[in-house]
Amino acid sequence: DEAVILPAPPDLSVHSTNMKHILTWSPVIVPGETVNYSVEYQGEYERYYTSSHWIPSSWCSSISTPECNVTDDITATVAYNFRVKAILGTQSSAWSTLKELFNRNSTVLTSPRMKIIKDGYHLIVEFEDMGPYFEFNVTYWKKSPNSQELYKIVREGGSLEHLVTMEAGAEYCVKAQTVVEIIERSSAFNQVECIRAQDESHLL
Amino acid sequence: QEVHIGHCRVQRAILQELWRAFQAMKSTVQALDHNTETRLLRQEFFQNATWAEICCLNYSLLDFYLSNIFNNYHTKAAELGILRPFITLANNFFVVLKKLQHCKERGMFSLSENSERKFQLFQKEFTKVCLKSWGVWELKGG
Repeated sequence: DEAVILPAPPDLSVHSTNMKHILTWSPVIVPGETVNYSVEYQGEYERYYTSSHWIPSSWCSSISTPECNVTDDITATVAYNFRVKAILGTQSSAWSTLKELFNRNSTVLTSPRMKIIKDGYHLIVEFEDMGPYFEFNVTYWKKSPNSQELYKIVREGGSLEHLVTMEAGAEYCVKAQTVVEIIERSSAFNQVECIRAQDESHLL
Repeated sequence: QEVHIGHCRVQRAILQELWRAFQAMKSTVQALDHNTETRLLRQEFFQNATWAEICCLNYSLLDFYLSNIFNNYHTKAAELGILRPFITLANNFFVVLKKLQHCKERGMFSLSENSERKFQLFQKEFTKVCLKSWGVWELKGG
């Protein structure tokens, strides 16, 4: 039967949120057939010193879905290029590449999900685990006239962090932002959350 | 910690990335290295050096490694199954090189005579090591 001319996968782009990078493209449709794809990449070093070298992506050497998690491939804050080709049996399409190179410093940083807990008079905060690159810049204060803002850096999510020992009956407020040092950026602050310590009598 | 070379700052996170990649390939590479007497980089290389000299030497070393080591061993790294940490090192070296390049362009450091001599010493040692390993390669009918 007449060989199908496989088009190169179009619309290649990277969507990145909170340092998770997903490469997507539009599928190549061949009626009645399953088309696979292969993904390769180049960092700025390869482009500058060894331009012929392309590296197979960690997880997407032969996949059937038109998307690939390239988070593990991007391990430096430099501009990366990706290429994808379609594969059908012994046939491969031409490579298609990104229109614009991708640098992880363009990732979208969302403000962190945060839980504040009181354990007796102790004010404790917990953040979701967002991965190895994330720290949390916490600002907290006692809600009273001319109270002072205090700051703390929480080095990783997924664990409880003691902020302050509260005064009986006082209300304390907390807000936080993520900090990703490797790209020298941080997110917006999240919603302020406040909590009131028990009154002294309550504990007797 | 971080590295501050004059006004150039290399974040802790980049150093951590470099360290992880180095650890991931160190044992594989060292297992193949039978020439253990030659030391390319000596302690005194940076001793009593000004920060401008350190900046300059680091710049020369990084550029040297990227131009001479990494592009000659790319295929070997793939064969040894250490390509991923290998290219992580290369691209993060490239990040640091660009930061130092930025300082160089702003005239923050220039190749002083002393650092020029030190770097030539390093290159001589490297050439010696290369010749020795090519010699061994020849003897083995490489």
